Amino acid sequence: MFLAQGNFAVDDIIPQIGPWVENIGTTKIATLFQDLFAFIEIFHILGLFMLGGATILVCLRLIGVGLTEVSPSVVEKNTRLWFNIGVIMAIVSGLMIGLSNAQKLYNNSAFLFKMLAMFSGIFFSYFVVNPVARADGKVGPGAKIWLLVALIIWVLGIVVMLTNVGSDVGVFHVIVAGGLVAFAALQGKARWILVAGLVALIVPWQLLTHIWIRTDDANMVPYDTTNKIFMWSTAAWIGAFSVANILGKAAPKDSNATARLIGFAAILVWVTVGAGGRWIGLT
Amino acid sequence: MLHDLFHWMQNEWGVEHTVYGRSFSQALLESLNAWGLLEGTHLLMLMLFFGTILMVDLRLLGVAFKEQPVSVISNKILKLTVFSMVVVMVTGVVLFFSKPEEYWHNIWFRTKLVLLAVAIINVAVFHKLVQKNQAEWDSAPKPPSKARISAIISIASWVAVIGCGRLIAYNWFECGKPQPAWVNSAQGCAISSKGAMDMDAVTGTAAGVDLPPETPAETPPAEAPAAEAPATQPEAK
Repeated sequence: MFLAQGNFAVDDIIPQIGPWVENIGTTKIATLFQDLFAFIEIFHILGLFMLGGATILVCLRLIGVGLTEVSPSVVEKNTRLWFNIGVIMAIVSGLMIGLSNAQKLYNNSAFLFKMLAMFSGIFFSYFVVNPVARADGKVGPGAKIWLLVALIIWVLGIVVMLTNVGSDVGVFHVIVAGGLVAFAALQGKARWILVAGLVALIVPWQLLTHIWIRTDDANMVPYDTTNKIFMWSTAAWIGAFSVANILGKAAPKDSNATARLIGFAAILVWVTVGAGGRWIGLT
Repeated sequence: MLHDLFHWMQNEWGVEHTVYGRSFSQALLESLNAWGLLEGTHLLMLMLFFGTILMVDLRLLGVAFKEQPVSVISNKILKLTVFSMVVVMVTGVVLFFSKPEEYWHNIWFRTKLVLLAVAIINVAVFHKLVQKNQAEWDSAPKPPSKARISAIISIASWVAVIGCGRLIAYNWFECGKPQPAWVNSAQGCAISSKGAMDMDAVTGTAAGVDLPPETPAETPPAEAPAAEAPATQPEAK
């Protein structure tokens, strides 16, 4: 039912708090944050960049690329403080942004998928990626359970993103990020075959949606259908190569398949958080 | 000269070739897929860029990866930094193309360009001078002061570049609005399409303009240039 509605947002889940959310925007603290919005936003972005940079190094190490001359536990130990600072900066500034802009976010589908992705990312990083990295790639039972939980939440976020005509194209960031990570992890000829496939899909998609298909607000169906066809085709193409990497066909030797899957998925989750943030502004 | 080029790009280039008579710049700005993907890619790659360069700078400062040689950290991480930088630059240039005239007359954009130059000069100085004797301090937990200073300049300049990049979206100092003369001068409003409006002239504090106290600040006196008409004062560049 929700999928058919499109633009599924927080107001669809808890409509009861609508009047309260409306009221938040008129409070003194919200007005103060509105005045400081631009600077809070910069703080938020810097926090996200810091946590993103820290976690990507750990995740890439789990995949078997990047800082391969040191163990995953060393990478995790040295990036932990900066990751934590980034998370605190992003959450504190995120709450300020939420207070100053509550009504818009309450009705915004992109905000919902950003929140789902953020919870997934935090679970991923603190309960899966970091413990697995600390154990130098060994995946304990606790990490496996949290991996499942985090993946389910992330997939829910992607589903919400896909229901939003307009921001559904944001899923491409996640797909292309998957392609880039696969490119970094694959070796030899395989990575260039991956790139050739991506170019063969992305170029016709852009040409179709910008030159051939004419859209107007009354009829977004041809545009949206074309987006979805290319989205799934590209995801399938990258997925095939990623699976080849994760299962070890063209993968680095210095890691195990589950750790690689965890590193790969965690990067995509944090990319979803970043893409979600951008699409809040665009939708 | 650059103003004329950017004005033509933003308003005229391609109007005969697009269906709705828009310039290529306007078509890009209003595009359904390309604009969002470009902006998102720019931001996500900036995340990779800043996150990775921060880790290298933290190593140079001696606060992260202290037990690993600088070369081990930088050789591996800087590949990601350079890759993301190239994507950020390419997407940044294309994003600039969407509103070249407006961005050109935006004080945050101009400040960002200056800070970018500072950051790039710092990289060049680091490679030419600081790295010359890296073998001597490569494994030191705390690199020499010149390397640490370079790291601090790097972090500060990239944070400032990111901050200015975000502030470009805000029109606080948009040309054509009343604002201090130095702001008009710094962003070259006099030759922009929206013109320059001097705050002092508008509020009546400029020499020779004596407005009655009840005159609303928003009402420009007869002597003040209109928002739409470019002022005749020379462009300070």
